[in-house]
Amino acid sequence: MSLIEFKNVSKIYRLGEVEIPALDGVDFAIEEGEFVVVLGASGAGKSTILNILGGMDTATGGEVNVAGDDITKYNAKQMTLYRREKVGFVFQFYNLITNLNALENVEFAASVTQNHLDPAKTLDDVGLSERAKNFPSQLSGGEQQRVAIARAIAKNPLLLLCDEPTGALDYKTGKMVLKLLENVNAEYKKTVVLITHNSAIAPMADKVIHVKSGKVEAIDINENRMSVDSIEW
Amino acid sequence: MVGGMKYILLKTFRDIRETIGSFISILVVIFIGCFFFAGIIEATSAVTKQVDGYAADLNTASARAAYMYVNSAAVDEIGEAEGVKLAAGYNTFYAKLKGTRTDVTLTTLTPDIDKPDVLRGKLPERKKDDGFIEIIVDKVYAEAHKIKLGDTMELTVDTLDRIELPSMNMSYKKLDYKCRVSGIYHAIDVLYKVDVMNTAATAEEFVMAMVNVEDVPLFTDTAGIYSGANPILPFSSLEQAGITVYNGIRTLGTPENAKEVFGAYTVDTEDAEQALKQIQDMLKNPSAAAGLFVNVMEFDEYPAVVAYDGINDAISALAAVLPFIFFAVAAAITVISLSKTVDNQRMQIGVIQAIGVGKGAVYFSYIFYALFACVIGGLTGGIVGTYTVPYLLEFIYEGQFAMPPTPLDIGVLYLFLGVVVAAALACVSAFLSCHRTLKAVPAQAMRPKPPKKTKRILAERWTGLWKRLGFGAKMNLRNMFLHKIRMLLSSVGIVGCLALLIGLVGLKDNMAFSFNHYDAQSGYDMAVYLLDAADVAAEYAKMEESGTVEKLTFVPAFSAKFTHGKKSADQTVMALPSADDVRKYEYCDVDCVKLYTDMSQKTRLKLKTDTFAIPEYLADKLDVKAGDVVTISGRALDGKTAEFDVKVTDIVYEYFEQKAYCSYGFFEERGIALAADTAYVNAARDAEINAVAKKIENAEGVRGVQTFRESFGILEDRMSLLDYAVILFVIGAGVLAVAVIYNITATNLKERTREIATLMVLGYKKRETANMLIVENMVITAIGCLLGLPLGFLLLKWLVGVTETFGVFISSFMSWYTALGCMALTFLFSLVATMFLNRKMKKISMVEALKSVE
Ligand SMILES: Nc1ncnc2c1ncn2[C@@H]1O[C@H](COP(=O)(O)OP(=O)(O)OP(=O)(O)O)[C@@H](O)[C@H]1O
Ligand SMILES: [Mg+2]
Repeated sequence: MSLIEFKNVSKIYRLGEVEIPALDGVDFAIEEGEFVVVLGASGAGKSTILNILGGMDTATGGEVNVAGDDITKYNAKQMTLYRREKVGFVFQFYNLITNLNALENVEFAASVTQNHLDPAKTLDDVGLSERAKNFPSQLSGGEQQRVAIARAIAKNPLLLLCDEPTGALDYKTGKMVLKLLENVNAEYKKTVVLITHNSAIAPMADKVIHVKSGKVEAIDINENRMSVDSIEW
Repeated sequence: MVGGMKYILLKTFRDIRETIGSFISILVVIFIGCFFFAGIIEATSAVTKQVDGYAADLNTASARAAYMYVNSAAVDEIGEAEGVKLAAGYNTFYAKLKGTRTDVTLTTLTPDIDKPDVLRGKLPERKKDDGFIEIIVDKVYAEAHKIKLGDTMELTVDTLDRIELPSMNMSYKKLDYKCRVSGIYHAIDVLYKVDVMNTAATAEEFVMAMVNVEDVPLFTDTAGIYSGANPILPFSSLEQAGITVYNGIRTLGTPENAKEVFGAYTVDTEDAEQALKQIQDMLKNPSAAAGLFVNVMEFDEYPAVVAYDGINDAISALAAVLPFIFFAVAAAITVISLSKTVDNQRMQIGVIQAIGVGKGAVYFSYIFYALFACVIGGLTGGIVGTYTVPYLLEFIYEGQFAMPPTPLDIGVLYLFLGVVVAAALACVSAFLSCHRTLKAVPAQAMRPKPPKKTKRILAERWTGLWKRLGFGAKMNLRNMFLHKIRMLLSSVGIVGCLALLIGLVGLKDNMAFSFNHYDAQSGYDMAVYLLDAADVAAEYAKMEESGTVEKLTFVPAFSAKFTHGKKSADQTVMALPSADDVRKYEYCDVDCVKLYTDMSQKTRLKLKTDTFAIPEYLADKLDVKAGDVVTISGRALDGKTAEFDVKVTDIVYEYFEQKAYCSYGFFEERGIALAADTAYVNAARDAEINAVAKKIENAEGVRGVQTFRESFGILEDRMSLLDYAVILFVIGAGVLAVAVIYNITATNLKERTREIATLMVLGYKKRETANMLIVENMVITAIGCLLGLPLGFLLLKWLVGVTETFGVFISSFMSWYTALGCMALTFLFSLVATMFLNRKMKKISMVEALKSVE
């Protein structure tokens, strides 16, 4: 059985009278240790998928199996536990806790999880041990995103979910961040799901899920995965 | 979860540091709320406990009954009554320090009840061979007059001389006693510093003294029951029969139906034959209980206790209500600043949940913020209040009462109660602030807040005007109209501030008005309390010849119960001379009391024979309008009872001496005797008022004299207690307004830093942007004033109601200058707070503000 299975997952937002079907029967599977890229145009439903997978949102219908459990059946408390122990998130706008410094941000996430990694070492891994005492407002966007990645990794999660982590970064910094994620996938054997609307990134993934208008349009398997270093866009 | 909590706390503390201004403003408001709440309630409770404990220590009588006479057999029987632990007979005399105007309430000592707390010296011993009798005098008088042990003083004591048949009128003779002070004492009656007649309550002119019962006889040697010139029954025969009589009974423990138990032996005093027979029976059988009962007062009815408890209750009523204004404001600014913080931290809230922290912990972080402010502010405010206000109150009371020499017993109950109340409010407001963001799924928090529906605001429809407005004004208007709730909440502090100001300043204002009215109303120079009206008239005639006095008016009274429908109230009816009466009576002045039928003292009421005027407060209480008929029943000074219906013809405005008024003719028509126990006198020259008062006071048939200035002064003294409350609460109101405006401005600035920075980038000067915020603050202040005005008026009405327990009824109108003055002050407070903003404004850097993504 796959690590992650989406089965006929739907998500409908209700805005008063209007119903917005953000997801409409999404099916896919992800294996343990895979590096997955979710591709799609703006508004396609990528973030919705990630949020449901990360236990941040609930599906309206269908099944989401993670390591054999259907997380759509979880109650709020189980959801929190699931997020705590299984998931690491990286967001487009870093979203560090502004009033905690870099190291504290990482420590905070780690302290929540039982089976966490050493926060200082993780921060070192992303190359920021020197800036440990700096607050987010004192870091550049790229640095903040690296702290956010360290924060996600430090939890030693089953899944690393990244929603356009390079969206707000320049080319070089974006590339560095992707490299970091690639390393995490390789070294820690973490399953990484990365959202992007930049199809050029696709070759670095094991699996590419194309989303369009709330449906999975296609799933590509890359037999020959390329390192991000060799990708140009 | 302990680990995660550490960082949540760390974050919260840094949030506090970041928004320290808002945090402190919440803290300060709570500080004041708890200061007042814990401080004042604890203070009133502590002084009450102190006084009650002291009263208990001294075995203060739980009831005191007054009799024309009562024999020891009756005292013994009452001692056996259900609920009575101990009873003792004692005597009370009205006396004067000879040759002075000083009233003396002289009572006899009883073992174990009403024990004097002798501070210096010792209890009086029996009369010495040198002719001096020993007395102890109260501490307050002794201190005011530097009385030392062994000092001598001469007392003139009103001693019962005759009981006249068939009227049962009693007359007194003045007997002189040479006394030596054997001790200075502090007793509960001194504590309250109000004499029984309530004619002179100042320490300088009122002394309480106690003496051995054997040293001052209750009757003169020739006393007895007389019919005409001949004694029918000389009281000396009682003594010969071995019967001891008193004119009062003190008890420890109060019987169930006090009036019935104490009045058990009494006979109808209107039936002189029966009274006579009772005494004759008593002579035959000395062990039969007998007495002519007058009245009984239980501890909490003692005039002094009523005065003290009234003031104390009024103060604790203030404390029980006013702090909630502060609590409400604290809750409002907590909601404002926290919901803005929560808005600013939406994404972080999402992230914290994404990390796997439960909602509970996130709620906790915001509740902790508010709770921390409340607990720190509440505890410190409560502690400061609890350990200062009671002493302050004791100090203030010392001007009015002689507080016991025992230490205050201060507890911490109200301190914690205040903190708990404040904390509960903090939790609720913090919960409400973050509830909307937290109840959604975490993913929702990660998305930007759904924008307010940008409806066109009302002003925009008014295109002509809208076009003419500058960009800043437009932005301001939109901002304000789109955040109506927030504006309202923001104005809560102003509402509270203005309401407090109007309530307390208005109270002072009304008080001053009432004083003026009282002044304008009184046409007499002094009130003479009569023992014998004929003697006084004779003395007056002599003085009139010598040209020192010019007006005398006897004011007959009738103490009545008024009934109108289901409502009833007790009120004295006083007869004043009408223009018609003036022709019939030798001594009367139509201007001795001027009655007004409107508040601004413009319309004088001219008494006619059928006039029956009641004071406004009574009209309210009975729900009576001019023209309504009320039923009156009561007893005139001559002891006759009467009941009749009467049409209320006028409502008069009176604030301090509440009475219903009619003419002499009105009394005559209804067969009510024109017996008076008070007369009003005017001196011929103002400079001689005091001399005249002294002269009259020493005349035959006079119990006491009080000049109008004196009674006015006593009232002013009593009311001056309020000044302290006014000062305290005006300071409180100021802090409230400043704290709230500061808080709003700080959060506003923080929220709109980007907006302001953008404006600055666009070339707006800092001044202009600052003006926008000032305008917004002023609009908030104006809204607050609009809402605060009616609330202040309600508060004023309530405060005026509270002053009724001070025994005064004052008007409760709001003058335009009070309203304007208070509003001006509120705006001033608001401006002061806005000044802080300039400093903050200067700190905004365009680069910093626009850099952050949030
Ligand atoms: N809270 C919401 N209420 C209503 N509709 C929503 C909500 N959140 C998302 N949607 C809608 O659901 C659809 C999918 O949104 P989603 O955020 O998953 O898109 P996306 O693929 O991540 O796009 P982008 O690349 O722009 O981030 C969109 O049409 C969006 O408008
Ligand atoms: Mg998205």
